[in-house]
Amino acid sequence: MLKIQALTKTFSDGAATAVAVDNLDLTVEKGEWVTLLGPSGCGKTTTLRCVAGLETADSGEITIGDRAVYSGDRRISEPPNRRPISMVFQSYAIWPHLSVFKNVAFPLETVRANRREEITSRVNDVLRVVGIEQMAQRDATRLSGGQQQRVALARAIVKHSDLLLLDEPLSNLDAKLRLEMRSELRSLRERIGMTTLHVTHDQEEALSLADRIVLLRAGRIVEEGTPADLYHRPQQSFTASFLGSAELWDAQSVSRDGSGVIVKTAAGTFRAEIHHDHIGGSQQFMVRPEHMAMGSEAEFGSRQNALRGKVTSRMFTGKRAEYTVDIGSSVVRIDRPSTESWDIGDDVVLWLPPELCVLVENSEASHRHQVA
Amino acid sequence: MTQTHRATPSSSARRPPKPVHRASVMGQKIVSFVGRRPLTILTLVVLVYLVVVPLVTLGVSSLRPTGFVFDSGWTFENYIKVYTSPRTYRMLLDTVIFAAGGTAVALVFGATFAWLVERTNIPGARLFRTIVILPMAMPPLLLALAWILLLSPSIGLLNTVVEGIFGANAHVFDIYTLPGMIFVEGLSLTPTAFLLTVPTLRNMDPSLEDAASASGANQWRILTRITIPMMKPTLLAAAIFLFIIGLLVFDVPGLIGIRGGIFTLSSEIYYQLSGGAGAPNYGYIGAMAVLPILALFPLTILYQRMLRKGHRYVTVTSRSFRPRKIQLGRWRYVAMIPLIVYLLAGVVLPLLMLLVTSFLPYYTKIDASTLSQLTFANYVEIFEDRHVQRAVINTAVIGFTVATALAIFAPVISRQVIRTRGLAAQVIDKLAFLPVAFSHTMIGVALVFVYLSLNAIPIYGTIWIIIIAHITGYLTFATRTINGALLQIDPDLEAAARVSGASGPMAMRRITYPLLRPAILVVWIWVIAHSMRELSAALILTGRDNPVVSTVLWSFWEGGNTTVAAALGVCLMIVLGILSFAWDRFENKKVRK
Repeated sequence: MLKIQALTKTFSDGAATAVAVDNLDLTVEKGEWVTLLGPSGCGKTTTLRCVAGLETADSGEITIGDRAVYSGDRRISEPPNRRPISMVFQSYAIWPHLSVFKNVAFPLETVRANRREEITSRVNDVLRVVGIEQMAQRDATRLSGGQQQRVALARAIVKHSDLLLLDEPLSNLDAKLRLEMRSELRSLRERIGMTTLHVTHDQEEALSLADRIVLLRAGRIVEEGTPADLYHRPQQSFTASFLGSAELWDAQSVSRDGSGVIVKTAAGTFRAEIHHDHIGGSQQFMVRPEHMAMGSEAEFGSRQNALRGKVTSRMFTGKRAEYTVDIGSSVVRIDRPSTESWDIGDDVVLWLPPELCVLVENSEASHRHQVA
Repeated sequence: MTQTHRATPSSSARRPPKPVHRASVMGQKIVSFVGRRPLTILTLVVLVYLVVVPLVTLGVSSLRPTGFVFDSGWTFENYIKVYTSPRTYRMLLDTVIFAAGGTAVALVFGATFAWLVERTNIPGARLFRTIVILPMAMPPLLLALAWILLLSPSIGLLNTVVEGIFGANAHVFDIYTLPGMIFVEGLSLTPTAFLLTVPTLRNMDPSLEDAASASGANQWRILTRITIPMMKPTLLAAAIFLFIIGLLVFDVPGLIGIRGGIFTLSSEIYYQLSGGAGAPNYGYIGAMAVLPILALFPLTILYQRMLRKGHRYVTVTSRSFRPRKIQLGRWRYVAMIPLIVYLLAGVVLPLLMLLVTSFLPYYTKIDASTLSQLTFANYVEIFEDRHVQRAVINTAVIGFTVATALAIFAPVISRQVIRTRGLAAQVIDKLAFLPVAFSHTMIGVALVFVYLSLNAIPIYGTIWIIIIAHITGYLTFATRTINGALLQIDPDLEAAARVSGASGPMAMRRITYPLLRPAILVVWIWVIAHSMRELSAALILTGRDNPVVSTVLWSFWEGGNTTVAAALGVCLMIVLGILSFAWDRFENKKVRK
């Protein structure tokens, strides 16, 4: 449905030039929900706005359906109102001088062919779908954040466009509301199934909503895949760090061992079952704090992938408790259910299950764990 | 289990840029630009016509021996004559002193009042806020007139009172002096100074002062070490703005200065042009007008820079609390005194003076016997005077046309300046700001030159030349106000309309303009009020067919018809008062979020 090829966009304000989107290729299939995820400045919003036609790229091609809406070479750049898209803005952009009904009816009114009765029934239908049909006549300025968000959604889906664009739709909501809206978005998705390009910096939002996540950094794609793949089987250390937490060690040497690899690091030698075929580049051994087990010498002392150390801090966060453990060469973060209780000063053995350990490519020049 | 997605390697080589011939790229860009943005071209053309043409005409005529643009020959002689004449330097010195003095007075009063009203618990603060704005209904023209009536050495009312008490030879003040001019100008600029400093005081982040208080500073320390330094850029910007006005203004120097032999930039030009120093030498006048304009450009740039700096020092968040009000305690009522004095001097006394004078049968010393002869004759005379009726119609037509033209044009300019990027937007922005450096007198002079030379456009001497002068004169205010309003409207609102299927013009029409409507209304009212009371340009552009209320007033006054002038002034003030009231009302409802 959406095909982006070699998209490039730079911004310059006279003195400095910044490359926002760097030669980006991206495809979204019909009915798919793709999330562009990344830190601020990674180019995700710029890409979205180029697809919407609110920004014009420097070069590349954007095709929606069977039509090229932008082409640098062929000098095509269709204005936003002629692209088969709809969009939800981060600020919702609800028009304050119109009622809820008129806000949602606006996209239908831009097509002169639509008749009054048809518009009215379609608007009411969609208001019902998002759950605000009683607010149709309300003045748009008297809505809460969550209600505004629903109006914005309603306005976006009333037209049944080919492509739905979402620009950080949940970031303006408080934490509880965000969770609620997230599951509502999910169920909306099941019911309507519009092809969606979604932009966010919130990794939980991405993990829970996307069919496929595209991780961006400095205008380029770092990695893409399903949420589960990216979370459990990342290829890049950046991906591992961005989605959830990761403990990383530089791999001093790597050797094959059956289905896994043996990795020598400053903290010891470990086995990792998850690895990809990399060509060159430095690599890192990765395990997530919540995947490590913590126990006594008797439990884990004799196993492969064991680390001995002393607990140096404990932080209770409700469901879990976070510990830092000094293993000599460095300090490791580990995340256990809060029902366990380890104290500061305890001698412990950490066990890193090989089937959850990953060999990733080092995305940075700098290293997280220095050689002691 | 392992996926084999090909990740883009982090160090991919960038595509080398295609070498392209620069001229052809430039040419293509211009062609596609023109084709795609007719509105931008139209805006640029109109702005150039309004702003650049008069400026260039002035410049060219100053270099012509005869002063007429289409005559032949180039010469520097005009400049030499102007700048070797001691009269010029006397005039420039007086102008600077006048402007500096007026600025100082206005700023001291205005900023102090702003501080009192916004930051202390002075009683009746809201009332005072309205009162300080009131004098805007009294144009400097009438304020000057009233103070002449009060302080003229021969029959000024206050002087008469003082003579009655202290004897025949003691008079309070001769208004026909530089200090007299500074006093009146300071009074007339105080509302502006107030309006310029209030927003900064109101929007000051209270946590900055709270932090000082928590670190042990007392009220005085906070004021001198925190508040005033934070205000410095704003105060400086206000000072520059007022100074520029003082340099360029005509009303006070024209009415008071000329009679006292003191000339400033604008009154000198008028004096020369109206034959006060012999037949007008157009080249000489052009040379006089041009250099100050050039000297003003660095000032206006400095002003813009100070404005920007001021905005950075003061944070405005929708959730911040208002700054704490200082408790004045016993001093509360004492603090009201300067405000009351200003009220008397700036509003009450002048108003009363004009009122009383308008009911006098003829202008004379006011004592008990004259007061018994009050009459309506003056009012009857102006209502029956054909010339006055014509002037009133002209004034209304001009005001309405100028205000409406700007109400339509300013949003177009603002939208391009605020919402688009690129060279065109910056050029438009600079062009729209340029007229700040022109006095209305100079605009008038420039237009005289333009339309005397351009016989093809026969608007010289008609109301149309005044309309053009006013549009140019009020262009900057209109665009800056709409700029401010547009900045507060989320650009996503228009973008949302675009992605919902609306074309550019439709999005503007259904979304942006309705949201701008309050600001546009405010601009319309302000422009029409100022156009109605404008004197400088109208006077220079006086012809057979274009009398307006202010020029008729001027000729009554200069012709010795003092009481009739006063009556006309009172009528003008009533209309302006209504408009000011409406403006103040709508000002507070300017932007809807």
